[in-house]
Amino acid sequence: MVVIGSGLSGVMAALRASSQGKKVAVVRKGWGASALTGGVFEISETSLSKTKEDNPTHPYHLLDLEVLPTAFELFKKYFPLKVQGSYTENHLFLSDMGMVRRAAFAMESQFLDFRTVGRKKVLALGVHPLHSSFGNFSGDFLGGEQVTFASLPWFQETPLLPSMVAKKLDHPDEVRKLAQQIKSKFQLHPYAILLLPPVLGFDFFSDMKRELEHHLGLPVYETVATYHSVPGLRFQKALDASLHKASIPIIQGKVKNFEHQKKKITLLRVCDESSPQLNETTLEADTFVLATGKFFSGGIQKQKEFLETVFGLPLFFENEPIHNWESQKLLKKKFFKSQPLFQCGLKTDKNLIPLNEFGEMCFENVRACGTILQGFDPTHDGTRFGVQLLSGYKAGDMAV
Amino acid sequence: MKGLKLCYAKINLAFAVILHFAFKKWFRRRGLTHFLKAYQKDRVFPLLGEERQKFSSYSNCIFCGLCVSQCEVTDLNFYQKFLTPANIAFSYTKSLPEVSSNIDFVAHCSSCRACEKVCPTGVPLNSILQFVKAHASF
Ligand SMILES: Cc1cc2nc3c(=O)[nH]c(=O)nc-3n(C[C@H](O)[C@H](O)[C@H](O)COP(=O)(O)OP(=O)(O)OC[C@H]3O[C@@H](n4cnc5c(N)ncnc54)[C@H](O)[C@@H]3O)c2cc1C
Ligand code: SF4
Ligand code: SF4
Repeated sequence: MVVIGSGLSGVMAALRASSQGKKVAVVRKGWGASALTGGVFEISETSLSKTKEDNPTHPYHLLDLEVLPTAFELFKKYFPLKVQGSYTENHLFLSDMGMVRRAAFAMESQFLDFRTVGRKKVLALGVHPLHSSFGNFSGDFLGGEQVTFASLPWFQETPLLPSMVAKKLDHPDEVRKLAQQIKSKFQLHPYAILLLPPVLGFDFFSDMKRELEHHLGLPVYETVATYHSVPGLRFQKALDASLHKASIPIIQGKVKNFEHQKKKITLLRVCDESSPQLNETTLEADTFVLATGKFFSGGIQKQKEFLETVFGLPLFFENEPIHNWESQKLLKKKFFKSQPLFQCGLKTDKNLIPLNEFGEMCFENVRACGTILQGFDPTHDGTRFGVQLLSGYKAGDMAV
Repeated sequence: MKGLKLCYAKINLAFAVILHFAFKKWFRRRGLTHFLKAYQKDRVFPLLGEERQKFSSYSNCIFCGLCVSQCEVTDLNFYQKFLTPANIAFSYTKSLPEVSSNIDFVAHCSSCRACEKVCPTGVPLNSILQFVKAHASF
């Protein structure tokens, strides 16, 4: 089996298939939207049944929601970072823009559920030029005086991007310096918890969190990231590591074209543009899993018309083909519905095989999973983690 | 009155033309080398047609910052003056190549291509860096 794309859904599909003894390889041209996630993982904003009811084309209609714990256990077996949370309820997390995010799971270093804070006082620090955006509005939301927002000029002379700050904080000496600055600038005794932007270390962030807690003597948590997200980079690195742990090879390169016999894909041609010799490899397989993401990762593009990029499959919005829609129509927002642009994607049958305008299978040995499916908006929807995980699991399962 | 004004203007113009040709003969400073020398401090340079064609792919950067996490040179030069591959690529989304502000970084870049391997929009980072290197040295 060949999986195209190494985001969360692609990795899940690869892990599932290889756990059933199938020989798997992952092809990717680069990183995708999974490297931008904020560190929290959503399954559903309200209840699962309400999500399905509100949105008749949501991928949850095609997926078996009962296998979620099994899928997550398999994922956790290979995934090196700790993820905390529960399936049944949402927790409230503060983001570095000062907004509150609801999610079922979060990375260990970010798992501060605001409902458990109670009357304790929280000091939330922004790192001056990077995250000076802690606004008062979220302070009000969380009960006025409970959270104190302040910024720290510590990084003023160096930072450009959060990932660089995080790498700098991978050294215990730098963490000690930061702790000294915090201690000299703030009276810490009224506060029970310290919240920092998610820049506390890159590869060794759990150790650095403990280090800082040791220096300051109070629990330290990171907020949820928004832009240029360090948790996303940690997440994608951990995904790569889980593929490595399961001995699944990653092939670097972009899928350029393919060959097919009737409705069966026989081989893919992959070209690695980042290597000097521009070498081309061909990949043959029984099944192909399409996990190429939406616009950000290049799984969907508009050239002359909106199309899926690898196999040229048609796209749908609420089961309606959109390839000859004008862009403006895709951007139009109805009052109760979100924009079609981010909701459009592939229409598939129960086995995640993409369908064409006439409801026929496009290629019988292609499965689609992840954000590329129609019916949910991966940037706003509170169901993205559940969809990636379950559709990946199912695509890997079906391929065997 | 109007005719007089016109006549005066024409005489002025003719005088300027004669002066121009006369002085041009003595102060001859023309040609590409002279032109480039005049603009050297602003780092304006001629672009070849093929280079210009590559610009459409150069301008794909969306400043997501993923490439920065892969660049070891960015880490090593942390306490010095540096830029990141993202900043260089992003400067090519504007109309003019900002070679001048990118020189310090490319001197350290080891052309390891680690940045290019993760870019989601397929920005040819290596070829941008080579372009900057080629034009940084004149
Ligand atoms: C700004 C932003 C913030 C987000 N924040 C969060 C968050 O906080 N929490 C959350 O749960 N979700 C978040 N998401 C959504 C998140 O991106 C998705 O939930 C999910 O991680 C996407 O996974 P995926 O596997 O579908 O695709 P992606 O991770 O996008 O992976 C696509 C893969 O396909 C590869 N690919 C594409 N085309 C080709 C080709 N032609 N040849 C070879 N390879 C190809 C790409 O290189 C990439 O590896 C965010 C998304 C965005 C854009
Ligand atoms: S060059 Fe690519 S990886 Fe780097 S910031 Fe631009 S789009 Fe992102
Ligand atoms: S090619 Fe240059 S810019 Fe890119 S990762 Fe290597 S050293 Fe950094």
